[in-house]
Amino acid sequence: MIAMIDKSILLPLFEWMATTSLGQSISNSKYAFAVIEVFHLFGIILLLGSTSLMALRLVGLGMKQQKITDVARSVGWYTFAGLLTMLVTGGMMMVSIPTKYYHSAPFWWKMGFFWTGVLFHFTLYRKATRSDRTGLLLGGITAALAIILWYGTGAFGRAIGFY
Amino acid sequence: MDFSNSAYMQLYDKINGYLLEKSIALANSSFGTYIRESIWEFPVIEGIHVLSIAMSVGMILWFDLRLMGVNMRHRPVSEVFRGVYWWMVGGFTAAIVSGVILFWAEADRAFPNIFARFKFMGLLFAGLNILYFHNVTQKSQSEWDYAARPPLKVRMAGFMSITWWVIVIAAGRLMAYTF
Repeated sequence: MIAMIDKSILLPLFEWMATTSLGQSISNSKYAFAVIEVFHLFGIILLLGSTSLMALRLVGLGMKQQKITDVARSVGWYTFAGLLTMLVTGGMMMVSIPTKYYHSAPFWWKMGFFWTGVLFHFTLYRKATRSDRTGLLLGGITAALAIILWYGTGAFGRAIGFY
Repeated sequence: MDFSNSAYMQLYDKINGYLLEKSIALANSSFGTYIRESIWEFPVIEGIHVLSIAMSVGMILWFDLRLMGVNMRHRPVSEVFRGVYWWMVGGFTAAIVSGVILFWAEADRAFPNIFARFKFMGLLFAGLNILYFHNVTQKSQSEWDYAARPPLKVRMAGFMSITWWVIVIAAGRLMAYTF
């Protein structure tokens, strides 16, 4: 699906990013990128940790004594904080070496998984976690999608460093 | 006083030299070489390492925040613990196994790395924190299991745990930059 989209129309955008002062100051600094990436990892931990907890509850493997909506309420803020941290730090990393990302295949897979994840998070995931009547079928599909999309985002993100 | 030649420094140099020698031998072993030179194995193991850390530390963080009285305040500490325990242990086991393999493959460069030493130090203190919590603080758990805001010693255990894990993760990531 991702391969069908012609990404070359985005190339000027990526080339422009490298000329921004934010992008240049990060790429000129010796430590900025490394520090930003550490915070990017903290964001991933918040996101994966909290959605894993929610997924376990949806399939009845953890925190069964609590209502789905109670678990959703307490993990929701952490998921959101993780998403926001990833977006801000990820954006900063992207503007510092945009053309490297543009030519990296795992980067485009990561973007596919990430934005599908965001769409899923505010639609099906929201529907399934906002009702205590969510059954094992809907709960199981939601949990599986959450795990595949978010862990996939993380895996492809790691792969950018290699390919 | 010439510190660089003191008895302590001589002992340190001796231990350091011995371990460095062993690390080089480890990296040059056939298994270490195989992993390091692989096309798929190394990146896949590294991916497993990062994702299993994200899962297990995410769960540990959840329990630590309960100890600190920040989240799930209306649920007993023991219940939150049971909910995450096996996932925490499973994720952490995967992180340790993959981490040992990664270290094996690059031991010659990882052992002398300053950030690797910070990471090991963080792991050591995180472990000591768990031991102390389990053997001392948890003895009185019946008194604070239902407390929305547990006593200071319990909140401290949660806070220290988060601190050590932040060090482990930051040092681990920075270690890869300095290779």
